[in-house]
Amino acid sequence: MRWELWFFYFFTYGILIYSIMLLSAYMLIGMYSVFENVHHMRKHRFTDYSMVASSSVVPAITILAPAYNESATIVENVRSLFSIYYNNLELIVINDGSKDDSLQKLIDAYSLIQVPYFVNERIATKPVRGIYKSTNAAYKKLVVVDKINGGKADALNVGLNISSKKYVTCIDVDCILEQDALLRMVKPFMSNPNKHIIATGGVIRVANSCEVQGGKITKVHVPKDMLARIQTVEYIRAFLLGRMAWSKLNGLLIISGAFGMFDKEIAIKVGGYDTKTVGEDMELVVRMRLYMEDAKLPYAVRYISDPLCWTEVPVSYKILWRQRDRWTRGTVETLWTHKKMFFSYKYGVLGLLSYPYWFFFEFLAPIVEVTGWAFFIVYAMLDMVQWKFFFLLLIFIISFGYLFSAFSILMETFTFRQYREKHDVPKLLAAVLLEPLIFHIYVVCAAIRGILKMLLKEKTSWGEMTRGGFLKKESSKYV
Amino acid sequence: MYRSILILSFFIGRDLQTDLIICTILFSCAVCSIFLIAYVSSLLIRRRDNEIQRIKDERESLLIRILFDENSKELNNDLLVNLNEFKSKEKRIHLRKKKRKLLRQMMIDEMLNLKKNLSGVGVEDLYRLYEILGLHEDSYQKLISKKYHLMVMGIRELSEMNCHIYYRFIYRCTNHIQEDVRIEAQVAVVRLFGVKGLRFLSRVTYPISEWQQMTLLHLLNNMKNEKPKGIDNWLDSKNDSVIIFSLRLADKYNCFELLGKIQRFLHYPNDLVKIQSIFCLRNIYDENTEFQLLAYYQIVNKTVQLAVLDVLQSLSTQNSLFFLRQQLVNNDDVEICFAVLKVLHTLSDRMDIINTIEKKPEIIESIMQMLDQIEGEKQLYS
Repeated sequence: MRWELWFFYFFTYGILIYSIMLLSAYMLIGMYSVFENVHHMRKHRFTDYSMVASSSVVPAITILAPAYNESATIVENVRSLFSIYYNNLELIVINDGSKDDSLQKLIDAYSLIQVPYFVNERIATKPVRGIYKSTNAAYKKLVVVDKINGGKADALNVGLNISSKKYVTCIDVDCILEQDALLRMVKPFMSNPNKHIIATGGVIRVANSCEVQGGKITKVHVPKDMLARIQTVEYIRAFLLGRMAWSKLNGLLIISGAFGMFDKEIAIKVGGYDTKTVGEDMELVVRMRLYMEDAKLPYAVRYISDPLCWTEVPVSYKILWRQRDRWTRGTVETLWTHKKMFFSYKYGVLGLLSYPYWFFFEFLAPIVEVTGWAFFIVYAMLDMVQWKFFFLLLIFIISFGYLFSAFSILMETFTFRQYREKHDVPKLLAAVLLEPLIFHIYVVCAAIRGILKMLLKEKTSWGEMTRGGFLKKESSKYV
Repeated sequence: MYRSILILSFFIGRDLQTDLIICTILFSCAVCSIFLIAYVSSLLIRRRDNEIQRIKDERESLLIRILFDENSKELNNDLLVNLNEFKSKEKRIHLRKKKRKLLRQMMIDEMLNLKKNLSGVGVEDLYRLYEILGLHEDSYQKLISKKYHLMVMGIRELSEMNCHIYYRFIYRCTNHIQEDVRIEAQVAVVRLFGVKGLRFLSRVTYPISEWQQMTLLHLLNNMKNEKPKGIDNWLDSKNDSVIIFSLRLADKYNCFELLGKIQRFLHYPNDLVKIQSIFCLRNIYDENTEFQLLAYYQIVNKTVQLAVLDVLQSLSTQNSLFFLRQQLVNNDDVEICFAVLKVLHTLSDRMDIINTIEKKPEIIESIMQMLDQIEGEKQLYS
């Protein structure tokens, strides 16, 4: 047999087997997640968070909010964080060498003055220029740190050094948190006497087009912008049909950088955020888990499936490209750094399930997809594959995507039901139809670019995210 | 290609292309069905939500009418009149059993909601109404159900509605194997009987989580300040979480008579128990406690040392000065130094501290920064 034919067989069956495994993995994880979500909803139906919110016995938490060139929204964003329902709180805003007047705006709005402060530099960071506190006792909880620019990870590390509380919550400063978000996040830390909970993560929801009043989401709308709407579907699918299952298996590798809570001591012991990667959120979780695994301590990373944090998603293709490029690079860098876990029996679920899943179905998926389609097209052109077969396969794959996305919308309708307007579900279903045709292709290309950038060792940076600012009920209606 | 199809057909037993067509058709049908189901469900759920809201509003106004009708002089008569209205409505709807059950559940939910905003006579009337309508029977059925989430619901409803008659059933659940049931039952007995309900601590074998302890303490905070009987015995428990909770109770209710026992826990193997007993000594102490803590400090690990220093901020006198100065100069750990400095600052002035650290010039700069911070924080909001 000719080698071309062998290559052809290897390739055809390889892709077929890969596809079957990928689709099966998605389905299994999706079903398990649904089951766990229902369980979670039943379990927490009666937890009265408002009862303990005002309690003096709640554990102390620090919120770390790094900010870079957020002048347009920083004052309102900090005000929004102040509205969170929690008694024992410290809010540290880290101005990461912004080039705009973010710091001055904060100084003016919150009557800040520079105070003497001893920074215990347990994690090495870029120098701190000054620490500010408010002269107004109403803002006693606020600490503003001004430092030399070093990136998000470096800013968070400064926050870890300065924090005086046991738990730290790392958030994006422009996120809007639900009133009881911190209570829901801290509960797993306090509810597991037999296991050390090292981190908890929450669901991120898309805030574009939502109505905001006094730092709170007052009405949820499906985004008007189609790109944001498709990302809404994507977020629902990822959070509703994925993370819960991994959490239950204790195999969660990522907690979104937009909203996650950590045990500060463990985070510091492992050296804090890695400033050399753009996927610092995932990398920290993996490193914390490895530390606990190596120390043979019983631990868990938990995930809260209730919608707790709302954030704006990119509405421009340029920013979306940068974001997805960065996400892919972050994933690849983390997987590469911790390659010793790959199919390692020593790390249990982490080594045998989570890592391989991320490697095969997150990292390899865009590569296999692009090469697969490229080869199929070439083979079809060479008449080695019938065009009919090619299109059938295409329809089959797209149908599966539709099925999975529509199922996530259905589950959202049955569980958390955030989108309650009459036309919300049809709008989301329309977005489901459009997703594979434009968005998916674009995202796959961005991912491939990210991988190439990594291989070519191009300089990595976070880039900037242009925010539209949230809708304020009393002013304009939509972003 | 055909060969590959043939090989695959060997495994599948059919022509691959036919299989793919079938799969595609099936998937497309499934997609269409899911789309349709999602859309129809969203409409149905929306309609149901509106209906529920309508009934809820109706129930709420009915409840308010029953409870707060000012024209009625005799509450009992008024209750009966309005009650008949409720019952006749229920009959009039000619509902199936399941729907009737749902309506009764909505009435319970509405009562629970209303209770949050009521106090005094209003709450008492609500309890009576719950009983007269026989809703406690519904809650009891949930309590004896095999589904744990229904048990939790039943326990919550019965305890919120102050239904003492099922106490025995609820109490039995305080050591239930299912965590959620156990937690709810423990809260329920405290809600029903206050500190007397804490007697479950004598029998509980499962750990009581920090969250649960916090909830119970919060519940007790809102009740009359009656000292629980039995803390002494609970401190002898083999369950470490019960000991920790009992230490918290001893602290909350200022049980000075337990000082000896609390001091003994300083040498307990579990660090969490040690730390809780140290915090207890902040309120419950005698003239020897300070010296005891200073001696104890030298034999424990850093975490416990930090707890000791925290308590010394309130307990230390001039007798601790020498020891604290020694610690400041000899200990290289920044966290310890900062904690020591906080205690020292309550006992001596800035110059005195500076004189102390002059013996160790390499730490002067950081100690001065810490001192500035401590002083700055005190001045800022003084």
